[in-house]
This record gives sequence, structure tokens and C-alpha cells, in this order.
Amino acid sequence: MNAWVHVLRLELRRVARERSLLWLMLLYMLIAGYAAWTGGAWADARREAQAFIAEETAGARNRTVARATETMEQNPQSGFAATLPFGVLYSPMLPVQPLAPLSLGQGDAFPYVATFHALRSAQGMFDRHSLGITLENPQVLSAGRFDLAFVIVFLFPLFLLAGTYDIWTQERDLGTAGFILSQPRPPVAILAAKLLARGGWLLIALILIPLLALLAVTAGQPFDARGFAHAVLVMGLYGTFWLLVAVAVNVRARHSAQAAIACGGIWLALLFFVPAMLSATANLVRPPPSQAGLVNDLRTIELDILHGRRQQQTTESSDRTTSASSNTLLNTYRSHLARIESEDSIYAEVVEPFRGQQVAHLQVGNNLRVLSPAVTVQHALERIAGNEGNRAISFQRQAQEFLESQRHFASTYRIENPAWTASDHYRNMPEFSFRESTGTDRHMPFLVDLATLLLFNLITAVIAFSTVRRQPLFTDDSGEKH
Amino acid sequence: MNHSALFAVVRRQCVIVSRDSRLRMLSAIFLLACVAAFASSIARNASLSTEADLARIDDARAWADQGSVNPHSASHFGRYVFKTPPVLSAFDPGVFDYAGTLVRLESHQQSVASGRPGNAGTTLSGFTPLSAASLLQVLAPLLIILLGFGAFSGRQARTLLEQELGTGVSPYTLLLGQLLALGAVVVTVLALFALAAVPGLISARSDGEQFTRLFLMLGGYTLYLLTFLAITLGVSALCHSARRSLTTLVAIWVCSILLIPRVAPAVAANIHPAPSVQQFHTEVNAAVDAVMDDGGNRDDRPQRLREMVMERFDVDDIDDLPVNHTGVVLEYSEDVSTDVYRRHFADLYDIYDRQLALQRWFSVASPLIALKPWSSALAGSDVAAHRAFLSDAEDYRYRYVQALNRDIAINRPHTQAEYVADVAQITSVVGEFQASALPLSAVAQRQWPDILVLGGWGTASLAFALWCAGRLRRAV
Repeated sequence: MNAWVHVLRLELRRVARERSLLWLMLLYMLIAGYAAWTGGAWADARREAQAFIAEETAGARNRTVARATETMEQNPQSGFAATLPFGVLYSPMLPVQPLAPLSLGQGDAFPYVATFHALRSAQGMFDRHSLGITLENPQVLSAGRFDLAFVIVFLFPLFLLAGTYDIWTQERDLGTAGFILSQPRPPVAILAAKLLARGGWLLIALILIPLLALLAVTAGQPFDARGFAHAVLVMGLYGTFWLLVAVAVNVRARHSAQAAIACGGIWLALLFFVPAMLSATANLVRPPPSQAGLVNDLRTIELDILHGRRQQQTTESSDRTTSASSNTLLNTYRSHLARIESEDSIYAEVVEPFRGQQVAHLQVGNNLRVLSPAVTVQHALERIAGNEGNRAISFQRQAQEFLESQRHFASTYRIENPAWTASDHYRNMPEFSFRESTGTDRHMPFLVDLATLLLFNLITAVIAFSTVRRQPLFTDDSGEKH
Repeated sequence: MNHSALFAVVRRQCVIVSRDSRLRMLSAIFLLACVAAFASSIARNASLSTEADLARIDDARAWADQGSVNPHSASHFGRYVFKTPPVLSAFDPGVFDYAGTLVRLESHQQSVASGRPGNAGTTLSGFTPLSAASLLQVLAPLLIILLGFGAFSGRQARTLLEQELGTGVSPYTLLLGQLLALGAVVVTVLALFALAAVPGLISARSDGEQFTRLFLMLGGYTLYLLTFLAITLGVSALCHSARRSLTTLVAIWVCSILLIPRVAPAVAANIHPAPSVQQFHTEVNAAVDAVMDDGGNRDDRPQRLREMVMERFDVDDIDDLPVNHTGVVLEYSEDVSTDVYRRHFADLYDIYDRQLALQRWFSVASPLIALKPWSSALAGSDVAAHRAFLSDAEDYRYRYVQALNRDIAINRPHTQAEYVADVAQITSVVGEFQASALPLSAVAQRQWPDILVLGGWGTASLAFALWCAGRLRRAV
């Protein structure tokens, strides 16, 4: 029989006999199941909150339209209907993605709803529902979310290492290394057979379990085949990386205890120290903007605006007209809108640099991810789940653009459609629809994540298998190297 | 137990430990990492404090710059209060980065704290930031495991053990000797860290109480680490092979340090869920409306309030009131909304308390669950400290708004003309916002169960280690 197949079968038989692996799998299933359920509960709560806001907004809209229709019926010459679009409330929302339970990521860090009407300042459009985005206990937040991303990034490698940390050193411990190496096969092939037998099934099982849990909690949502495929790809590469780490450690370690210490040390370094260092670097290179500074800058502007308004009111009070004809009222609203737009442009002088600083910090943090496989995987999972910072920032920009388009619509629709009734307007009101990134913007970050993971795999594989070539896997009592 | 034998074993272990270059290096690197984390946190806190101080000055200036305006409009312009990081949060940041650092104060509502420094929105935010506390909580037990797992297990250790037991030394003496020698290393590292922390604390203008707090915190950490040391030595004595000893200990570390502290808050939050922001505000608004409308129609509210004021002042005509009707109504509505908000926030905090109480049960499975609240409470960076800050902010907000409303009630004439007044002058009686820190006695009163649990863990782990030592004679 082929020696390679023999090693493979022997290893598989050993794995089948190891009861501890079965217990590990059961524990992993429990953990992944609970994490998926937690993520699912979060996504459901977010959807419920959005449905609640949508209902509230629809109620306010209906009241506005009903009032306008009633006024128009009673007095067709009333200017009230002409001003209707100025008072209609909008609540653009960042949709919760079907795979949101996979990683809650930055879901609690950014606003997910904007609320405004044309005559309300853009400043504060995210405050009504998102200022205190969550009332969750800060202690729960500081502990970190127990979601599938945590299981995949932190525990998945740990379970993999638990099953493979002694993939070769156990042969040394048992004294069978010499016998196995005496087979007519190169050591690299033998090691690969062992890795395939022990690591292969473990990898498949550890990938399948969280994915099945995710499938179960997202059953009511549209099936995101691409998202699942991406998750499999990311987990596969991440898992392979850790298997290669186990091999790299095993070819150097003299016994299993040493291998376990080394695997544990690498795990600790890659999941605690490197991310902490990267975080500190990101904060140093591009610090996050000061919220307190922004608040006070905005207040200073608000105060100037209030002073300006007061002065304007004093000068205009003598010119005020009591006529409420359609055109006069519309013109009043338009001039009011022009003033608000001009005030918003003053606020923008402070808000835009703040947002720019926020984006720069985000960018540096995201770019640094390529230095750590764990951060890369976390980033990829956040993207798949739709809970990453860039998507939230894009939502803020799109909501802002929508407000501008709505203002344009409000001030021009009467000119372009003079015969429209309130119901016509209601039917033709612009609706917000979040545009997901497309093309390069959509695929490039994911491709970078994959390339990063591939590179880490390649480097680790070179370290592992080049060592096998240079260093003996076994030295017998006579000092002969194998 | 033979004391001279114990002394001899301890002395011998101390010599072995002092000669172990691996141990010396690991301890030095670990100590250095703790000091570096503490020093960088001191610098970060100093920068956050300066930011908060500047923000406070800007906010006060903006308020004063309003000049003469309508006091009620001014109460909507509002003010902000800014939270300064407590000195010892440089050691244990607790929930400081997640609780919010600024609160808007305005009439009719109690705001939620915003501005969370820990939530910058990058992928990196999801990873544990390094602090001296996190190093001691997560890494130190692992180092203890790595240093002690082979104390009694493994072929070499067992051979040596046979010889030692052959000289007539009791296995208990051997275990206690190891425990005392390695425990001395733990205590030395903590003491050196405390010494290194002194200049940092002095530079942060700490008072004597901060040193007492640090001392008590490190007392908790000593108990925690000695617990891990006893467990490590116990497992090492129990397992014949070093591999099994290490695997068991790493599994214990993963479960008690990594898994349970992350699962416990999630379970607590699922069993006692906090309401969503929307749900909370809807309930508050409904409760305020219910009181203001007193079961009647909302449209009748102004008339009802007018009648209420006239009845209170025993007059038949609103013009006969000795005060301005609007001001009195504003004062009344502020009382109502404040009362409703306080009750609802008290309910919310009650949910937090129930979550924390439930989590405390998990400390039976993980000593870290008991250590974390002890450490962050003493650092002044726990939920209770944040609540104290919010409570102070709310009291301040209420006094501020009511000072403005009272001015309207007393000074606004009975005409429809717009009333303006120097709001900075009006609110000068309220003074500037001062947040009070929870006194040490209050912290001790609140956290004694945690130190009790830690003490329990220490005793149980020692008993376990001694029980394992008892089996050593049979094992060799």
C-alpha cells in the first residue's frame, strides 16, 4: 500500500479514537449556536427599531398629507398644499443586511437612521434616533459582543490548534517518529498527509458549524449566497493559516508541551498584542476626532446663527405681510429654506473636517489590518455582515444627499408640476434607498482581505516546509538525522 | 507540618526561581509591558482631561455669549457637561471608553451620554485594548500556567519528586514550598509595578485615596493570581504527563478568562434586556403626557394648566397672578418630565443591576468575573461611577433649567411681548458643574461580594492544590 495513504489512514483512525475532539466539537457547537442566536437577536432588535421608526414617520406623514388635503378641499386657493413637501418627514435608514448576525462589528458605533424634513437643518439629522444609539449596559459593551465573528476570529483558531498542536510532536513523544519516517516517502509528504487527515476534517467541521448556525438564524431573511461563499472562503484561508502555524511549530518543537506553548504564544500575539499595537498606531497616526470639540464648535456656530436670526427678525418685522396666497407662502418657505441651507453650509465647515478626520482614522485602521490575519478576518466578516464603518459613513453621506434632493424637490415641484394635488405629491415623493457600494469599491476591500490571508498562508507555509527541508524531523539515539 | 522542612523547600525553590533565566526574562518583559501600558494610558488620560477642560471653558463661554435672550430658548440651547477620566482608569479603563463622556443638558429631557472614545468605528475597536489591568487579568494567568504546569508533571519532574519524597519530605510541604516561592515572584512583580506606578499617579495629581485604591486593587489581583498559581500547581500534581497538565490548564484558562467573561454579559443582557432607545423615549413621552393631561384631552392641556395655576395662587383671573403663568407652567412641566425621566432611568439602571447580579453568579466558574468589577470600581471606571456622574449631571440640569423657569415666573410681565434676560446672570447662582467621585466606603460597600468571591476562590484553589498534593505520594 502507498505509504502516504497508510499515514493518512493511520492518522484518521487516531482522530476517530480521540474522544476529546468530540467534546471539543460539542463545545464549539454550543458556543457557535449561542453566538449566532445573540447576533440574530441583535439584528432582529435593530430591524424592530427601524420598523418602529418607519411606522412613526409614516404616521407623521399621513397626518401632514391629510391636513393638506383637507385644507385644499376647503380652500383650493390656500397656499398650504404648495408648502406640503417642506413639512413631510423622512427617515432614511441603513438597511440591516441578511447576514448581519455574522458580525455586529461597528453596528453600534454609527447612526443607522436619519430624521428630517426639508426645512429642518441637516445638523442634528442623525441625533433624534441615533445620538444614544444604544441603551445597552456599558459593561456589556465593554466586554465585547458575543457574536459569530468573535467565535471565528478568536475561538476557531484555538479549537484548530487544540486538535493539531501536536500533529508531529506526538510522534516524537510516542517514539513512533522514526518508524513513520522510515516509510519510502519524503517527510514533507508525510507531514502533509497527517495535516490533511487531522486538520482537514477539523477545518471543515469548524467552518460548517458556525455557517449552519448562521443559516438557522437568518432563515427568515433572503438567502445571501455570495455572503456565505465569501464567509467560507475567508474562514477556509484563516483556518489554513492556523494549520500551517501548527505545522511550523511542530517541525521545530522538541515535544508536545513545547509545541503547545509556542502555539498558545502565537495565538496570544496575533489576537491580543498585534491588534492592540495596530490600534495604538492608528490612534497615533490619525487620532479619532474629538466629539467634545465638535460639540462646542457647533454650539458656537449655533449661537452666531441665533444672533443673526434675531437681528434679521428685528429688521424684517416691519416688512411682514399677512397675505397667505399660494405663491407668497411658497416664496416665504423658499427663502426660509435658502436661509437654512446657508446655515447648513456654515455647519458643514466644522462637520466636514470632523467627518474627514473620522474617515482618515477609519482608513488608517483598515489599512493596518493587512498586518494581522485576525484583524483582516474581522474586517472581512464585518463587510459581509454589512456592519462596517465605511458603509455607515456612506449612509451618512447618502442621507445628506437625499436631504438636499428633497429640498430641491420641495422648492421646485410646484413650478414643474403646477397641477399636482396633495395626493399626487404624496405618490411622487422621493424615497430614500441606500445604494450599496459597487464595482471596485465593493470588491477591492474583500480582494485585499483575501490577498492578505493568502500572503500570510504563503509565508507560514514557506516557514513550515522549508524548515522540514533544512531541519531533521527526528534524530534517533545514534544521532542519525531523518 | 514540619516548618523547618517548609522553610528549606521554600529557600531551595527561591534559589531555583532566581536562577531560572526564562522566568526572570518573562517577569521583566511582563512588568515592562504593564508599566508601558500604564504610562501610555496616563498620557492618553491627560490628553482626554485637557480636551474636557477646554470643552468646559468653550461651553461656559458659549453660554455666557448668549447675552440677553429668552430664558426658555436658552434652556433649549442648553449646556454640556464633560466627563474627565478618573486617574486610576489609566490602570483599569473599565467601561470609561464605552459609557459616553459628554451629556447634553436641556429642558424637558434627560439625555443619554454620547461620545464614546472606545467606539471609533474601526475594525480594530473590536479587539481588547492593552491596559495594565487587561495584561494582569488575561496574560498573567497564562504566564503562571506556562511557568508552573511542569512543576510536578512530566518525566523529569516525577523523577525528581520521587527523590524528594524519598527524603521524607511531605508532598504538602513540597507544594506549599512551590506555591510560596512562585507566589513571591507574583507579589514581587505586582509590588514593582506599584512602585513604577507611583510617579505616574503623582504626575496625575493623585491624592492619598488613589494610592489606597491602587493598593486595594493590587490586593485583589494578588488573590486572583495566587488562585491561578494554586490551580496550576494542583493540576500539575494531578497530571502525570506534562502534556495533559498543560492541555488541562490551557482549557481552564480559555474557559475562565476568554469564554465565560464574554458569555456572561451576553447571557445577562439576553435575560434582562435593556430597552431600545426608541422604546425608552416612547414610554417616557407617553408617561409625561399621561401626567400632563391627567386623563383628559391633550387639546385641553393649556386650559387645565391655567386653571391649575390659578387654583394654586387662589385667583380668579390670570392677570391677578403674582407670578407669570408661563413660568409656573414651565416649572411644573419640568418637574413632571424630570420625575418621569428619573423613574425610567432608575428602571433602566435596575436592569443593569440585575444584569450585574446575574453575572456575579458566573464568578463561581471564573474568578475574573469577580475581579473585574472589584478593579474597575476602585479605579472609578465602572458603571456605578458613570451613574454617579450622570446623576450629578441630571441634578445640575434640573437646577439650571428651573433657575431659568423661575426667572420667567418671577420677572416676565403679563404681556405678550417677548421676554429677554441675561441668562448667564440668572444661572450664575447654580455655579459650575462639579462631578463627585464615589467615596471609597461606598465602593467597598458595593463590591464586598466580589472580594469575598475572590477570597473563596483563593481558599478553594489552595484546598484543591493540597488535595492534589495528597495524591502525589500515591502517584509516584
